[in-house]
Amino acid sequence: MQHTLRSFDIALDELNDRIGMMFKLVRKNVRQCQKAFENRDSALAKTIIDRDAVLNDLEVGVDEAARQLIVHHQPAASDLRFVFAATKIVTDLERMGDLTRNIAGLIQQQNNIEQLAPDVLKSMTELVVEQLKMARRAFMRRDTQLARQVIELDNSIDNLFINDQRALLTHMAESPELISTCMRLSNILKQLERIADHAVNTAEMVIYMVMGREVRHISRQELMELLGEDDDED
Amino acid sequence: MDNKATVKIRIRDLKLWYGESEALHGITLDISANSVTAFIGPSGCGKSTLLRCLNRMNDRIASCRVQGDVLINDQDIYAADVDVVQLRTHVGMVFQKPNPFPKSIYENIAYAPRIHGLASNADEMDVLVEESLKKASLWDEVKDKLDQPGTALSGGQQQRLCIARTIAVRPDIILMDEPCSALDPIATAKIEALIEELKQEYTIVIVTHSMQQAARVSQQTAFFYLGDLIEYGETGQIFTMPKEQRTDDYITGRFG
Repeated sequence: MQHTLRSFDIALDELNDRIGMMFKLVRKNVRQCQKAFENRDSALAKTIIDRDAVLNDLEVGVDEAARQLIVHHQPAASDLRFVFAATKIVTDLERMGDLTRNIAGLIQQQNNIEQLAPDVLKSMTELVVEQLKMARRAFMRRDTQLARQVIELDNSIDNLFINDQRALLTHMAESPELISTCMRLSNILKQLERIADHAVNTAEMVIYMVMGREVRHISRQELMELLGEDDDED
Repeated sequence: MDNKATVKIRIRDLKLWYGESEALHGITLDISANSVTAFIGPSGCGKSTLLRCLNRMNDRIASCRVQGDVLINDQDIYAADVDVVQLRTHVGMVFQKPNPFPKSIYENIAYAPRIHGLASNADEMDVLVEESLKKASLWDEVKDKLDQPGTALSGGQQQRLCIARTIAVRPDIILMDEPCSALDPIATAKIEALIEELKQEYTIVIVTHSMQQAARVSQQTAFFYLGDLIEYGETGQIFTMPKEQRTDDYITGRFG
């Protein structure tokens, strides 16, 4: 249902759209990082680095829009939860932007890391891109089940990260001359893993926004019970 | 609701008719002692009507008929032997527009206690007047002009004078029907600060159209719509996570 006051809806929509846009840009960055890595494309890496300013501006814009919304409309109930969640989510999105900028920086320094393990980054990127897609949808559709999937996918990402680290360690043990290269790749993977953690934060805020329940520090089992699903993992 | 809180007012299946028209459709609600309970809802929802049931102000309307129970301190206030004048000393009321008597500030306070014999001599009355004005946070502003007319005070001061007048007959419940709607923000803030203090000693029920005010001053909020109690709960919960969609729609401004 719409607000009696049309400008209230416009302000909420604007906030919503900016967040949606930030999700898209972060996802684009992650995907382009993979491309830049594969193609040793420094120019593309620079584009990603430059895009950080856009994300920063959007973050500041969301904060300002939220402040204006509070001043003008004093949001309550579901609107209050939305505005609160938006200001939390935007911080995570901005951090994700920073992490993609870090990856792009590491790619610019790459020498022969792509020959080392081209698929490593690809698998991880695919999972993170998928997760970000779900996180955006969960937010835009206020969908707690999608939010749950974002959180669940983080397990797979963590497992993949651990396996990849192990593989890199083996490489380093076998070929000491590759240590610095492997370290850089390991660092890239770490940035991706942290992006996934931030995506989880956004999903938790979606659950708060929809259900009014704070789930940031509860166990997986409690979360699954709350969302009406059994925890069939672990 | 906090089960540990003492229930001051029990309302059970309360129905009210104005002539043929049913204005309250069976309200059941417990109001805790020493707390502020806010009644919110759009015009015509029954919130003021319900408030007026709590000191039988509706008795004054000829076509009004009430069914159901209102128990205050476990006493049925609609029982045949209830003295309505006595009831209204226990359950005081403050109205939308300040309505001081056209008398001095002192007399505004002393008038009812004198009728009820609450002071046996002039000294006792002086003490009672001073105490009441102090409790209403008005003493410092008027102590040097007690003989001046109450109507000469500012709107906010007049409203606090009316609160002092209510307090003077030693009620334990104070009903407030939009007590700040005729006041500016500063006078409103003073009344709200006063409500915060008064709740230590009194049970307060406030009807307000300002949801921000309800959120600021009350511990419990009841949302009414078309004569029904839609939702009743802890104020923080009502304003962040109401259980009913209609409450959310109203609080967020999505009504009508």
